[in-house]
Amino acid sequence: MIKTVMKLEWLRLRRSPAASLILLFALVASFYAVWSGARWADGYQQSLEAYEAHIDERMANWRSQLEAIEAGTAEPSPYDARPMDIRLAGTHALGDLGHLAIGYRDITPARLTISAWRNDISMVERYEFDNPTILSLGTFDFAFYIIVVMPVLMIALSFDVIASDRSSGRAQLLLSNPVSEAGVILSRLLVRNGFLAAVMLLALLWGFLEAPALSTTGAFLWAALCVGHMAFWFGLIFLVVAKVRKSEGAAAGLVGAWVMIVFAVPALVDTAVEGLYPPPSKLAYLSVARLAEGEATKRTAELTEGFLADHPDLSVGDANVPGFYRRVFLANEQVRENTAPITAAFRQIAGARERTVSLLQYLSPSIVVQRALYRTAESDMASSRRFLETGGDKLQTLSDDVRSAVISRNRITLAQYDALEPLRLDGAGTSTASVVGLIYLLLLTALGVIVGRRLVGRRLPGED
Amino acid sequence: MIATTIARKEVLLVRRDRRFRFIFLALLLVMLGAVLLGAARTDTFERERANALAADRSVWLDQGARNPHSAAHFSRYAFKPIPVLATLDPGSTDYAGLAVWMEAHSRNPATFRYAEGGGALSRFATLSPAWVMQTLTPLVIILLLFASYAGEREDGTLRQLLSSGASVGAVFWGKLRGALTALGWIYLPLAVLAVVAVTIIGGGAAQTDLLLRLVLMLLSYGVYLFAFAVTAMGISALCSTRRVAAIALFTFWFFATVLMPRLSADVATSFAPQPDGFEVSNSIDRIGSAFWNDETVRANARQEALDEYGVASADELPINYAAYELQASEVYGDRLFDEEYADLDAGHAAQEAVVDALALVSPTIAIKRLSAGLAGTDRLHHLAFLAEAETHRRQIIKQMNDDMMHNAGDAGYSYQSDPAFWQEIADFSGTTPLLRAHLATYLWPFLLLLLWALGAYLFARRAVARASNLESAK
Repeated sequence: MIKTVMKLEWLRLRRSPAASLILLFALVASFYAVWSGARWADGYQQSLEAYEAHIDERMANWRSQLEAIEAGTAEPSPYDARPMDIRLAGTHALGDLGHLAIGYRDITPARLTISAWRNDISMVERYEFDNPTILSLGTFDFAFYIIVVMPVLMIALSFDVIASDRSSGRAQLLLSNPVSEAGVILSRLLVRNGFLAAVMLLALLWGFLEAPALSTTGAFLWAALCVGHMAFWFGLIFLVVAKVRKSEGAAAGLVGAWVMIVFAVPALVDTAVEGLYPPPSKLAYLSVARLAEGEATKRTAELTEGFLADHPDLSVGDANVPGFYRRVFLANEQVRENTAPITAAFRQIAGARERTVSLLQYLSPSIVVQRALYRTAESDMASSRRFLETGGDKLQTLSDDVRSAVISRNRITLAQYDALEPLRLDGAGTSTASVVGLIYLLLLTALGVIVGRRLVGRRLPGED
Repeated sequence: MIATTIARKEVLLVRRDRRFRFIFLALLLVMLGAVLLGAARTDTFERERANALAADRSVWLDQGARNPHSAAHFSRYAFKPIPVLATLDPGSTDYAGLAVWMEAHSRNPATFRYAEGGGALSRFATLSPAWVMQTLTPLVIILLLFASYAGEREDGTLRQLLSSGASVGAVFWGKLRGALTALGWIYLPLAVLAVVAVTIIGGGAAQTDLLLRLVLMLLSYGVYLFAFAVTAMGISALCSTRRVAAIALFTFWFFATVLMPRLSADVATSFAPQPDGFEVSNSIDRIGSAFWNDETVRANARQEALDEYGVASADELPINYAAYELQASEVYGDRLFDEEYADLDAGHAAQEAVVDALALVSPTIAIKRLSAGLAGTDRLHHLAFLAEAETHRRQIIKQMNDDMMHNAGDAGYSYQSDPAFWQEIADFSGTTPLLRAHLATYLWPFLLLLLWALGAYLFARRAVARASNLESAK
């Protein structure tokens, strides 16, 4: 009998212009989201590659100068092959699935110049050229489709799955057959949403094919999260249509739930977390850095003497090397030292926020899905923070490597230079939090279906 | 008379509806939270700006004797004033950068975007009074009005009403007055909260034309919500049942307030892509060294100096020629920077033209653009800050180059300015631009909103007449 119900539903779906329109929209929107993300990702990656090539070209020239100096084939100027001029490119490569969830990648820095000329603030290459109006409106990527658009389409297809039959009395006729009301609702919901799921999976498959390299775990987790999110909404829709008798009431209830789950609760959680853990002022961070830079500049001679006194083994090199090389190096060291407490505070606040959001995320499945999708695609805030922290560590290592040479106005050797490596931060893969999120979604789905079945079962046969 | 009776009945129905009381209270609470949060944020921005400015001044004045060109590289920061109306609509403030480093040889973009350190969930929704007015309030209006005609049609009471002698126009006016009264109940408390937020608790930078901006903002939101209310009535009249009306109106709301604004940004970048940050940054670097890499330009500058001072060689110049060259390089770079940033702005403007065009299918896009403009938090106001900062940069860099040019003599880069000189370098105070400078730009979204309201009204009248005819013919 259930098979017959499903066949009938399939026929009804095929004949309904509204349903066809919704499915067509789902097809266009989901594929557009993948295409749009892939287009954005191409531009992003090309820009990073161009930057790396630019730095490589510059450093090839620098290296040839050092090579010539070591070989004794050139008379070096004081400016040639200075260790201060070593530049290593730091790039935040997009995760394999970054084109499906742009997340915070369009507003966070992706290019660093690791150089002794720079400090933790100035190592970030200029990047704030995008139109702020466009950034504030957001991007239409596949994650947006999954989290925001798809539930609406599911609601539009399913809100009157049984209510019109109940009001017209057809439900009684239907239930005179050997079939339960819950069975009818579930099978109809399966047919209606099955097509949406198929469209989503097709678009996702295309998205996977667009990925430059794909880990099976990441792809599986993404697909599972998308299906899990759909399953949650399936459970919720079942619960509401089982409980609410009128279709407009079911529609209003589902739209209300959608607004709460997708927008209101995330906005409130975000606000609460920001209120509980306000970030240290970036302008205050800048002020401390500038103060340190100013102080170090005034004390260059003193700091240099101190360093040379601590390292009597160092022979002072070319006296013609301009003093500002040494001055800037020392100022940057001072900046790093003085801003360390603020940097630590940023990390601490970020950690506390992360922990709080991890707890509060269960208030809204949208938060769970968003975090898991972004994390798996490596496009969340944490990924950007990790990139900047790794860049800072790399800068510290470079400074340690060239300190003696810069302060004593010497050069490093070719072998030392060749041992240096650029920073290219790739995706770190999936996280256990994503799996927990998936389990949570499935639990909610099961809860929705079980409670919905009970609600339907409680109704007397003649009630409708 | 009949219209008044119908209006009274509509108002009574809404007042008796417990759902409305709950929704109304919830909306007020959300708005109150958004207003308080907005005020706190704006206040924090301004406090941080004041502290940063004081610290920047202190570091600058305390730098001791130093070569002015070295100081020009250290230079100063311009911190962006956040207007008091950002409390209501932060617009693109979070994505636009709060500070500009005004260094020599480089025209830098604004850095320290708040969104980069903001909440981890902020990309889908940020709680602000503007969001409440643009997204949530239309939904509440729809919830209130979706059954206004469809319910009467479904229950058969519209036919009854028309057969009792009420004219189609009277029914429409009655329903409209009822809807507007309900809209007033929603709109007025929200508007009062908004006014209180900016006049009493708002903490941002003062706006001299605050009153004008606020009045226009409230007027615009009034037109926007009116458009939604009459659209809801019109769609409700077209639908024969509450069910169809509800789903049709929710669909309209979803497309207009959620989908289209985001899609418009995406479509805009398809037509006019975002600039490649690396390329622009590279151009800025190239411009910074353009003068020094072009021997012809340098020779021309040298000749100009010789002509100006009437001497035959650089050695005879009564000024420090290195500093003269530094200033000449700035002037040469200024033109190139202007061209580079003009290109960038043209790209951004092209993107916004696409977004504005799509406002034809979504009044939310129009109100978003208009509201941010009136609040002084859109890109145009940000551009005004950037232009002001750039003018200031050119002025202070010239002051430092002039100091070296006239006082360094042969010491050149070894010359150190007297610490008292740093006090002559003015702070960047920053002003909030007047609305009239951009008024013409905001005319388009405002006209679009009016067009939407008028179109919605005409549509509603037509839909009601059609529904009434259908019901009378039954």
